[in-house]
Amino acid sequence: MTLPRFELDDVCVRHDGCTVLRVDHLVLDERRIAVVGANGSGKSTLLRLLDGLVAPETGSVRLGALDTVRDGRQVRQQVGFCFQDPADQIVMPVVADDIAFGLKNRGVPLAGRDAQVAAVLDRFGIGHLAQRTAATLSGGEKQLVALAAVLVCGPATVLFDEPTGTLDLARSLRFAELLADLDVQAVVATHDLDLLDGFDRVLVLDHGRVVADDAPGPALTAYRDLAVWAARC
Amino acid sequence: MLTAEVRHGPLRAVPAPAKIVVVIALGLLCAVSSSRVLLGGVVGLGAVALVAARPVWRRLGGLAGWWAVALVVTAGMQLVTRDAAAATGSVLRMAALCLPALAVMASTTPEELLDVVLGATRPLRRAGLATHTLALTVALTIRFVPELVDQAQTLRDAQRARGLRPAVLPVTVPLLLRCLDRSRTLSEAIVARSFFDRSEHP
Repeated sequence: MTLPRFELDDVCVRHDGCTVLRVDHLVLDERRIAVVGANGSGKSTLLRLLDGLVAPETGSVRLGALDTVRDGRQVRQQVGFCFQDPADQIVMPVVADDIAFGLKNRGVPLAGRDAQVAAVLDRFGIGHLAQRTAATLSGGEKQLVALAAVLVCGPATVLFDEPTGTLDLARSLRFAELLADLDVQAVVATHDLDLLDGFDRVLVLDHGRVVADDAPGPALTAYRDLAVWAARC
Repeated sequence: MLTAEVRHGPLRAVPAPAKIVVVIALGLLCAVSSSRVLLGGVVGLGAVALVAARPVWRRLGGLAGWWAVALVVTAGMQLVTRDAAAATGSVLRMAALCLPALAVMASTTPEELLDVVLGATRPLRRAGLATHTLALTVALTIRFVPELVDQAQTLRDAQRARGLRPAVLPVTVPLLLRCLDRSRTLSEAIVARSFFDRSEHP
């Protein structure tokens, strides 16, 4: 299976006059890619670049032949985004309606929509939540609903921004199992290093720069060294 | 009630536009008519429809309480200022207006109601109004009001824990800031979920 290929060239993102991310050249085409780094190191900005939610001040971000800013519409047909707080991305008041929201925006007819919603609810074992209101869900349930709402659209890549940040241990373990079973490319920004078991590649960000890019073992060693050094300063 | 669970029942199968047209028609009829027979008939019909809608009764509890208070106050005022017949008429009219509307709410999801709003406002698109954005705004309001109430309670608890007396301004300002922060992420989520990528919204 050919995996999607993201390519960043000479990318600079600035916010309020400060550079928040600077990448000279980066290609992402592995199945499981993690992005780690301290708070404010540019992890979320990198993910938003890949989905075209943030436009670089200079340079380009491409998914295959598509420019993520110019061809944002086509890019978002292929890329799903799971935000740090799942409550932020649940738009519709009722669970089933929210899962159908993305399909409706893509023009899927009602009959097909209902069947796909039922299938994804069944896949995640949350059929009983279909008519529940979002406000009555627990944090773990919201996470599952948000993930189902992304996956029902059939993306080739899913971007996860600190997916276990609001989950307890049991829910985190459950999420790790779900992630391992996903048959799509996943780019995961996280502080949860236990989640990275089985990942192909880890990028370590520091002050908006990629300071290590390797297999999980050596990359996490570099990240720990960086954290120890930062704690001593 | 608008965000309550919707169960499958006989009324669930009736298309939302038809239900809403019937409720509006009954409402207009009850507003202009003073026939007890007609009002009583609509009350009976509304009660049957409400049972057929299979609402989650415990969720109706709070709403029913306020409705009962309004009925008692109205009836009391009519008894004092007019007579028993006027009080009965007012009570019947209020029940005739509320029961069918409750039945529709209990058997229709917010998404279906929004689709009706979108369909009804379709002609306004020619005037340049973004009706799908209006519908999304309504959905977001329904979606986030309960969470705002929860957040306001959390802020009140935090301030009590720090020895402050509950007051409006110290809760409103941080609540507003949180809302602004959330609105930024929410707008990104709406973009990421392709809402603005469709050229034509149904």
